Amino acid sequence: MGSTTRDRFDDYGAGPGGPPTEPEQCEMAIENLVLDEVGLCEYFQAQQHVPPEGTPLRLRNELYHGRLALETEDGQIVGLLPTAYNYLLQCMARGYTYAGEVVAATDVPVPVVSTVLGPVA
Amino acid sequence: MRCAGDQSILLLGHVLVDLALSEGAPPKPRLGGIMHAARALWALDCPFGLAYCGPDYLRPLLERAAKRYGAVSLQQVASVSGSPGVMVIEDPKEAGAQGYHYLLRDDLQVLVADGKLGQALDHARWSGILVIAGEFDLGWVVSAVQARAKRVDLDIGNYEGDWETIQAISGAIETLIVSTSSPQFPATVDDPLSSLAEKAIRLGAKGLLLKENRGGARYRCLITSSQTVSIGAQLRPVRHSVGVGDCFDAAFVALRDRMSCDDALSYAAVIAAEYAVAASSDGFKKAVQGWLQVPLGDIRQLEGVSLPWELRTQHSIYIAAPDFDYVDRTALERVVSALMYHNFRPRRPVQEHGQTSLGTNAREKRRLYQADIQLLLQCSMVVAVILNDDPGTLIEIGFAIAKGIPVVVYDPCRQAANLMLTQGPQLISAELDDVITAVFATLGRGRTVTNGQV
Repeated sequence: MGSTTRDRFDDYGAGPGGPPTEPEQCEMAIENLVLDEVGLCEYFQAQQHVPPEGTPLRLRNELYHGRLALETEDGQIVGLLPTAYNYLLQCMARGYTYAGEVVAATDVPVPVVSTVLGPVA
Repeated sequence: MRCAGDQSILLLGHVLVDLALSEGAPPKPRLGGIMHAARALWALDCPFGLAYCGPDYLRPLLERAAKRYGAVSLQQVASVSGSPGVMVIEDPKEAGAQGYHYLLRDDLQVLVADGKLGQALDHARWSGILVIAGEFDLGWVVSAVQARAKRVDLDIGNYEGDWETIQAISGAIETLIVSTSSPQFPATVDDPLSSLAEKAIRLGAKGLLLKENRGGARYRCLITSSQTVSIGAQLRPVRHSVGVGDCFDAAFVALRDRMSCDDALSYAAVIAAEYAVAASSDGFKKAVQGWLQVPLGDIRQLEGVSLPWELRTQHSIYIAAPDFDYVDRTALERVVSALMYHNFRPRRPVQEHGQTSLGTNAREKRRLYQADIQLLLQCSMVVAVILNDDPGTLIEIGFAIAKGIPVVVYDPCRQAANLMLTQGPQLISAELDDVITAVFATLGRGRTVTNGQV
């Protein structure tokens, strides 16, 4: 009778003898990151098309009008990160930098860019 | 940006065992009540003390936790009998009503430990006292506080008593804190913030903080200009929402001494968001310390979602689903209930216009079709619920997408496979809280705020 699992009343489950901790969120790669407002950002405005697949990108190290943004290596903003990724700001404050690339992109019916992004070792 | 050297916060309230029930996972117990606020202060490196009401059996666990989090004092100011002090939580993520069940609450008795509250208050020169109201007599707390010429930040989120009782403690409140899930929140008035502000002014409170779940928070200073500050919510897939509001309170109270109220609230918002996704206390602390390194200017301009309670009813949400009386609509009802809990207006075309039968004639079918389409076009967005291969639901999804109406799909049984369905909507998820978060993000999009005055 009774449970075979040990319940910890204190922490979320971390610590010696507790369940394994989750990986550090700042060290996790982000797959299938679809950018916001691609059509309004400077890359599309300048080029009138989305960047091709494989285009290297980096996380801009400062906010762009209150948003995190991905830019090309020469500093053209391709699109904005959904606000769910705002936590990357505190990761950058802790010294993390991020890079990635375009994995899929289309101009029509609306410009869409899907990327992958991960911490730079 | 850390807490000042002479700063320390006394936390006063219940300690509970939160028992979160999640589908497919074993029940998870965790120390709750004021321990949520304690974790926030620990993460901020802000010294704090605990003055708690709780059952005696929790004492050893609390001593361990107090040591773990570096509490400068731990005082049981009242014991609890008749109830084990356990809160069972059906929906830890608060997609809808969280389904709190306080075990044996009706039999609960709070037994004040003579003199202990005074000892707790006198233990240190507390720079702030955060009281999270519970089953104890607020008058008992506040008279002890007033006798020492102190003021408290008072969170009445859990308070189910009447305003007359709170009125009796006027003059001792720094900030009155309420949430939209609180029994004290005037959910049906046109301007709940002003309604609460009137009451807070009568209490002599200096400020009013209204926490609005995924819709952000609003703060009104009551002694200067009465301007309202709107703080956007940082929406992310949450692990749990239990105690996130208390974490927000504690961060605000701790940081207010070092910066303006507006800025303290901005930091509190990102810290609370980290609490909602934290898998471990250590991970939470690392993230909080990271946020403290982010320049204030960035925190101020960081975009979040602000969707005040009373504006949500302006958004009709079309429910695309096989809403027929011969279908098991449990999942659909869950969605509707969650949307209503957050004060949105779900519109159910079948319920509003009628359901066809085998004998429905062509004219009636045409009428129902036109009525449903007209309703869809009037709505701000579509939430579709995949219960089966209902062609009507799928057509409505496609129709809305073609019309540029945002579509979010709740697929509880993970049936969707066709790429037209999985790639067309802005979100498709088997998790109800993802759907609700997406609704806030979608409808709050035009209202994303850079934290500041509205």
